[in-house]
Amino acid sequence: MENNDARILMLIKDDRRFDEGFSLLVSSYQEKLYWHIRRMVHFHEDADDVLQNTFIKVFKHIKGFKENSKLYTWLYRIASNEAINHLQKNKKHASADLGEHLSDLGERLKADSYFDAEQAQIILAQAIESLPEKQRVVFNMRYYDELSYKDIAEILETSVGALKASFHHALKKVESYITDNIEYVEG
Amino acid sequence: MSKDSNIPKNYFNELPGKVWGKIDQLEDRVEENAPRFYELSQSNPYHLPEGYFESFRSKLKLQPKGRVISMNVIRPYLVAASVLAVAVLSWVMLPNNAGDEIVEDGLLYADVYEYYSEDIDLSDQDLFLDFEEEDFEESSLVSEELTEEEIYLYEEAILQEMTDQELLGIL
Repeated sequence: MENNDARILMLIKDDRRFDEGFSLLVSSYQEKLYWHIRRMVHFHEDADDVLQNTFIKVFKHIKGFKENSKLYTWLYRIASNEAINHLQKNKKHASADLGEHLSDLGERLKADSYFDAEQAQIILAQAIESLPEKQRVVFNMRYYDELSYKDIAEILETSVGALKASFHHALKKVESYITDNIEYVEG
Repeated sequence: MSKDSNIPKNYFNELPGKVWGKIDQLEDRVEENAPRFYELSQSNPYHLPEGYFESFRSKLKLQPKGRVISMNVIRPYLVAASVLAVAVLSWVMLPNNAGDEIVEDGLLYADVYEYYSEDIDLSDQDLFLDFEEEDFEESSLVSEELTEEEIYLYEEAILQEMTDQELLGIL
């Protein structure tokens, strides 16, 4: 990953090869960032919007990238911010009650043609959705994106210790939510 | 502290390390510690349109000088451009098209421009259907404030610009 990043940055610094560098950046990271965003926002159309906005932001600021952090941690930071901004914008119009919000999410996922509407998978999505947004980012980055705590700490500008505690707490909450709700459905 | 002798030496110095060690173990054993989550997380319920990633790059439009634009970014400019176009058309199509000149029924061009510029969310139909005299009550008073001399000079200026044929038509 780091060799590829070095090549991307080398191409981007050269004005004549900027487009080639940016295309390489998009093709290298589009899938990783898409799945990171999709797990946050759940729906393909939303993920598509957020991903486009992420790359537009990257495009506008890549020339000012100082290389104080790794390229991919910088990209994840932008994608995470865009996803959280998107969720907060939508939250203004949605219900403030968590139970109602989770039930609404379940109904929308059932109707979504890009989601396997199995009840257990809906419960899993609701379990992760029940986490506070920033804890959800940590949980997804660690478990699904398989990023190291060191990289997550760089992305979120926090300590490794705080992240470990956050992940552990999130895992317990998610498991407990699934256990309670699967039993409720099965019972 | 008086009870120091009841606990092993360096107990509190070593405690944080032991706690983190346990947390690390828990994290590394998701399968054991969160079995239901682990089982469900093995399949991915999210799908996406076929060929999405192949065509994604082409969705990010590059301008000739290398700027990326999306509809979200340019939408406000398109709205502003539409409003401006309506304002310019009004300016050109109505007679006496100068800054503070009076339009028919005592309206000022400036008022017409302001009216179009203010409500950018209105559709064209809304704009024209709601174009009523009471919206412009203040401006309609302006013509009454002109002195007789100003009206005379104004008429003179119009007459000078008219061709002989046009003058004959009036007289």
